[in-house]
Amino acid sequence: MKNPVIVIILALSALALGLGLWSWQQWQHDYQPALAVSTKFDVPRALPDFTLQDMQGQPYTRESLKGRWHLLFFGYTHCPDVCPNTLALLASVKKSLGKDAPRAVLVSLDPARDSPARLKEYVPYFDPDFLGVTGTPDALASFTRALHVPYIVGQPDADGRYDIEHSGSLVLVSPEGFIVGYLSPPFTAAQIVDDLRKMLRL
Amino acid sequence: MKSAPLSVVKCSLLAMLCALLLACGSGEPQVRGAWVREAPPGSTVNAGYLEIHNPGKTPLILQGVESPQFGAIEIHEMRPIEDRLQMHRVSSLTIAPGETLALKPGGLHLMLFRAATRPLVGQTIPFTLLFDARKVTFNASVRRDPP
Repeated sequence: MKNPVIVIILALSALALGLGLWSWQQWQHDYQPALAVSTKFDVPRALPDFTLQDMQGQPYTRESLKGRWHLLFFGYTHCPDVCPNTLALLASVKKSLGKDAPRAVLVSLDPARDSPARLKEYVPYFDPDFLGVTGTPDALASFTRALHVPYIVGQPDADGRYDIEHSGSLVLVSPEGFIVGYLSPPFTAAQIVDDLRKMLRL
Repeated sequence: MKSAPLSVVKCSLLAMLCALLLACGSGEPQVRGAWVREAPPGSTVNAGYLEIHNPGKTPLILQGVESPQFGAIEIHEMRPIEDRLQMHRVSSLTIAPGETLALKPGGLHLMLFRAATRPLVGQTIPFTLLFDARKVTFNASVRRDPP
């Protein structure tokens, strides 16, 4: 006689507990500040091991990214529109955020044309703090695959000119070396600044 | 004797009226906000941006762009394909009557090849738009950031 009652009570308690947890999660979820152009991971993802080369000719690895926030952008210096436009946007983001701004890194997907010397000439033009890195085609392929940043090197035309189709997204990396989120175009400097303030809790 | 000066006045008035009518009817294409991005050191290609307004009653077809400052100029368009940005050469652009076409960062742009000298902030670069039936010249200022 009593058993069914206990079962019902237990079931109701479980339901109440479930509902409580669910609404707490919803409340937590709603409490996340809304981001305009970014996707932030609930659980940051560790960067893979990689070895690239910076514009000083030094090895550039996961360790190099530690101790400071970074924004990684993937492009090449022969790109006339998206790359200079994005780097110029990041320069104005840097002006707005000052010392709190993540360090912008141009990862060149075009090692054939973008030597460290050329990156050193090109990248600091936008801001002296910005860094240019590149690597072997294999190192770039595995690094970008792990970061889900697609690119395709085009076929050269009669003049030997080629373009690279690449993502316009920015990858936000924490001072611990974890991928925290992605910022995806189209974006303005103001939108990037707002989202970074929320994600970096500035 | 008196009619001569009067006819001169009439003629000039008529000529002015004709010119005015021509100017209104021809719907001369208008270029606004033209700028060229300052070339970062060592860059081999530049981008130029502008707005073209067609105040006329017939479509305008832009078939090419020239400048004494550049060896070649192409019209390019950046299109998002999946998560990549793909660049396409566009052979011509049609601007419908009354429409304004914007060439701006992240979309349509003039791709400027083989600069005679590196474009620097403060300079002004002359361009000519080659439409199917006419040419329009304009100047673009060199800037670091969009106006």
